[in-house]
Amino acid sequence: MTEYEIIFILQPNLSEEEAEAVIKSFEQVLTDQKATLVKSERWGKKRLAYRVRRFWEGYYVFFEYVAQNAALVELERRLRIHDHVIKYLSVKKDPRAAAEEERRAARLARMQRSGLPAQEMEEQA
Amino acid sequence: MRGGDRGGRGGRSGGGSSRKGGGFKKKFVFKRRRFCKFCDEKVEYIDWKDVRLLQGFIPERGKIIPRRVSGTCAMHQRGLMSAIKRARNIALLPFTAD
Repeated sequence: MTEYEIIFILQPNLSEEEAEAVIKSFEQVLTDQKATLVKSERWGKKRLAYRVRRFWEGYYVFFEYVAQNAALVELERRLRIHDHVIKYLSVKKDPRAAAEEERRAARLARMQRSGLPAQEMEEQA
Repeated sequence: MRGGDRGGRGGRSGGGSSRKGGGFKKKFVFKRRRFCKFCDEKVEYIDWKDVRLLQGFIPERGKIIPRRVSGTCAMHQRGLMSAIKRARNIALLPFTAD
């Protein structure tokens, strides 16, 4: 079992419900493959740094999951085929990433204690 | 790449050994100490999702700032590089920008 991160971009012209349905279907793929979804984040519509398949915008979705390799292969296959997915990136999560998150959270907590206003904390984090 | 953006070595020009002046006034060469931002903060892993952080290392052109300019240590520059390349792949950062 390995931890993976995957991010994919959906076409911007989908409605909220359509997008949600697509995302749900991919979550379903993971659960069918006996993977456990750790994080499922919707970053929403963002401007792309360059044009991808005639689009300048995209709906970003981010998953973090623990699974066997087979689940990853299946998910990637589906993403490749799906018409509404314009790009995806699948990465094995770096073991140091968790430590880094912890460190960051600790830092944030420290700052909170010293009583910095919330906005400033965001900037420094 | 065109000849125009070659940009030389950025280094100080001619060592300026002041043999003639007798040396009673030491010539001040202003050197600001460069340091690795990541070592300073004890960062272990540079996340490719942290676009705001990465953006600080790519000026308008979209190129990665070299180590000799930013002062980042070799280890962190490597991590930074792969983070930026991943972010580029998923269109969070540009490959080039004009």
